[in-house]
Amino acid sequence: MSLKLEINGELRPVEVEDAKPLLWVLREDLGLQGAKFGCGIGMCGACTVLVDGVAIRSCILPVSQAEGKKVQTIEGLNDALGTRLKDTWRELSVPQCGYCQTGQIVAAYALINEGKGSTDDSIDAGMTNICRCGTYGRIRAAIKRVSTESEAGQ
Amino acid sequence: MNRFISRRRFLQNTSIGISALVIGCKGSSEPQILPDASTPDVITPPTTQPGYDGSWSWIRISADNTTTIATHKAEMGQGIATGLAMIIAEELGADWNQVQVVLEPEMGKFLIPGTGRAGTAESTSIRYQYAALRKIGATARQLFINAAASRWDVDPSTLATSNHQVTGGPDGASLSFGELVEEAKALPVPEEVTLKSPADFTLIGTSPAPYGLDDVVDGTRVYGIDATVEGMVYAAVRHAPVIGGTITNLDALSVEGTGADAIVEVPGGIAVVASSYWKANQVALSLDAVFDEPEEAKAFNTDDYLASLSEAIAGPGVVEAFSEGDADQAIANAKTVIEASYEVPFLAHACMEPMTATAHVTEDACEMWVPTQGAGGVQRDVAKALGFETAQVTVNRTYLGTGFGRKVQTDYAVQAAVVSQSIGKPVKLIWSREEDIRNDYYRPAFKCHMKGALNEDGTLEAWKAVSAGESILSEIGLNLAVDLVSVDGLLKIKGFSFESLTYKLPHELVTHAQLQTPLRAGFWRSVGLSQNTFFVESFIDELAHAAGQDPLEFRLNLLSESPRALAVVQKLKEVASWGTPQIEGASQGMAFIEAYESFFALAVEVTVTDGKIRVHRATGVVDCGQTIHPDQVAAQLEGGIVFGMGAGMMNAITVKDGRVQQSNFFDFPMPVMKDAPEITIAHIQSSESPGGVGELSVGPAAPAVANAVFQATGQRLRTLPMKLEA
Repeated sequence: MSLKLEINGELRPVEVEDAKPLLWVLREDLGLQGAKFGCGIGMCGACTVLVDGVAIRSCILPVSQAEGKKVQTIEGLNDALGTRLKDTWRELSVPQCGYCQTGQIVAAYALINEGKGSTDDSIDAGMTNICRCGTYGRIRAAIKRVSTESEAGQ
Repeated sequence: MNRFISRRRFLQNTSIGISALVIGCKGSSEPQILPDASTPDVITPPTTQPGYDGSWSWIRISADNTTTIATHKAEMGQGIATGLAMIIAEELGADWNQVQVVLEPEMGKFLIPGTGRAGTAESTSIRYQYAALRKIGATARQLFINAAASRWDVDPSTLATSNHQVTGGPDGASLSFGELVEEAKALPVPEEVTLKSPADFTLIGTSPAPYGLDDVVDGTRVYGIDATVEGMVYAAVRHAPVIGGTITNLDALSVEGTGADAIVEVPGGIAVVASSYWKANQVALSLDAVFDEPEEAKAFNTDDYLASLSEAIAGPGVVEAFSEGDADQAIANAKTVIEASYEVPFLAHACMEPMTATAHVTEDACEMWVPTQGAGGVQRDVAKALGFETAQVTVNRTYLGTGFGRKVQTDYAVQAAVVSQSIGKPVKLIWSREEDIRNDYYRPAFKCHMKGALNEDGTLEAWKAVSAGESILSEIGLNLAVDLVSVDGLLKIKGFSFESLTYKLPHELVTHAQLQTPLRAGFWRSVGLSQNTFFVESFIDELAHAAGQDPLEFRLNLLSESPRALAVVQKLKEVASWGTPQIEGASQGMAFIEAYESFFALAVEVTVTDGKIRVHRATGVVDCGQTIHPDQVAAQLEGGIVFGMGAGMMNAITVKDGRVQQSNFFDFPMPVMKDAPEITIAHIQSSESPGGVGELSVGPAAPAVANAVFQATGQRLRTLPMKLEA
């Protein structure tokens, strides 16, 4: 079917099956490969993108459900918070292999936007993405740093 | 500034024809002046078989001072290119801000047909190349110094380099490297060069930003799964459910009306081809495919197999690996003898990036894009599968979404090539997570029976270790009486022989029984150390308690003849505040390892509440000799702790009737944020040769936790994954 998707602020027409998961539409049809395939069942979070501001696992979201909504991927996460997160990820040398980190950053973006990025308990509860390199300590530190800054800035 | 560039970009940058000096090694050759790097021929094919220690690194300093350093190791999370480049830059006296790092992704192109590998494994990248890379840098330095000496007409020994300049000229004159390129190029390469004293290092030992993080956080780094070729289609694989099975009804299967384009038989199963991976996988799952089930594999059950490991340990099939003194006699005479049996399960690697490879096979050539730890193996095995000469196969190595030893194997790359050859199109082949978990080269299950004798004063007099499990080396055709890697960690491996562990042990006997299973055995991050460190460090803890001693003090006594080991454990006592947990109500446990020419001690603080183990803190102390990049060392150790802990607490692969029972992260779970402890790493300053760190902390993680759980509950967890009694 023909769909118009709003991806990173741009309307993108695609011709795909409506059951095709958003992840594969992004990767195969729109050339946005920042969201990764990790498990295909919505567990690992490597495919995390924002749909209307909410962090979702795009590997299990049929593309038809993304129509009419604002989809943001790592490639488009370049507002103040997104940029600050990316910078902080670099400053703290968070990534090792880096494969899961785009999903981690998108999840962190949503968490901080919800005001849940400053305490250990809310980070534990909100960050459920898998990192096989085990960079959790640095992800936590980066989230806290950005949260503290954005709270101080408000 | 993004000073990390792709090779293509580098070639564009350098095609403008600025004169440059290029110094590099070809495999195990001495550093030499290479032709300028405007084509990949800058590195000509090596003439000897490359091993892990060969280096194809080079440095290019151009007349405008732009400096590029290329290294050839696979990037899978170790950040290795940064550390390798720093070694060359240090010896040269380069200004690190003017250095660009290039990954040499096309190593496969440079492999001599039919020879070895340019592997990235066994925590060898830094420690095996350190000397060669220093020599490259020092050779470039000496050439610039000789060029300046000649221009100034002074004795070269009065000159030095720093900050991209030769300094010490007449009246304090200095010349930038770029100004000396033309003259340096024309000079003979010095046969002998002087290496810097580590005391004079200014770059090594610091932590500049690691290679290539810009692309990671922007989502533009190209992993294997991101490789894109014009006209490419996708393939999904469905393996036989029982290992070794093959499709029996291929002719009856059809993709007509499914939206998929083709079905191709591949080694291990079938692949379905479509214009989308998702479509291909959907159709692969829906096909009424029938696979035969080899009898032996179908009869395989891990419950039975684990029982047979116990029988093997008690049986006549054990072979002596190492003996010192008379352990049997010492145990017979001892006042206190304790024994314990340990068990670890099969484990999958669960790489974050599932197995994937992209292939474009034409009539007489095959080009591949593969996330691989061993481009040479891919070239060899793909050529064999296609009926090609190895020279017809080009392997482009991509970034790896982790490797952990899984991506030294070539099965997924061979499948991609077979599909591409069959359909005559470029194809990207991807395994689902389910195929990945069920078709791994598993860390084999092992059991170990330990028996130890204590003297009246509580000192350790003797032990016997008998272990049993499947050989990984026999999987790759290396049949030894005792598989070296199976017992690595019960002993130290030196080449093809053994020596005693670091612990002082007057009498020692280590024996081993080798078994076969239908499962494919493979190298899993830290390999034999992953199980044997659990056995040894758990048993040392048991011995300490039996001797009525503090486990850390007990280890200090046993390590008294190794100053470096001793220093690491002594420092741990201090930095982990041993004896005084920082978390209220927590208990401490520790473990120690000497491996990869490094020393590491780990202490953890755990609580056990409602039958649930929680690891709050982990404190590690490392002596890895000369540290190149302290923050990368810390990152590797941090990650290894989470990796070893997660597996030890959560994971087992089990097999019933030849079928792997797990399939995805719900039944082969991974630690996430809430499971990860706060980790602190302390370094011992050292100028000894660099040791490896990528796998070092994996083995100690599980025993440190299990030892802390004993401290907390009195329960001794001798079987992994850990399970508390109610």
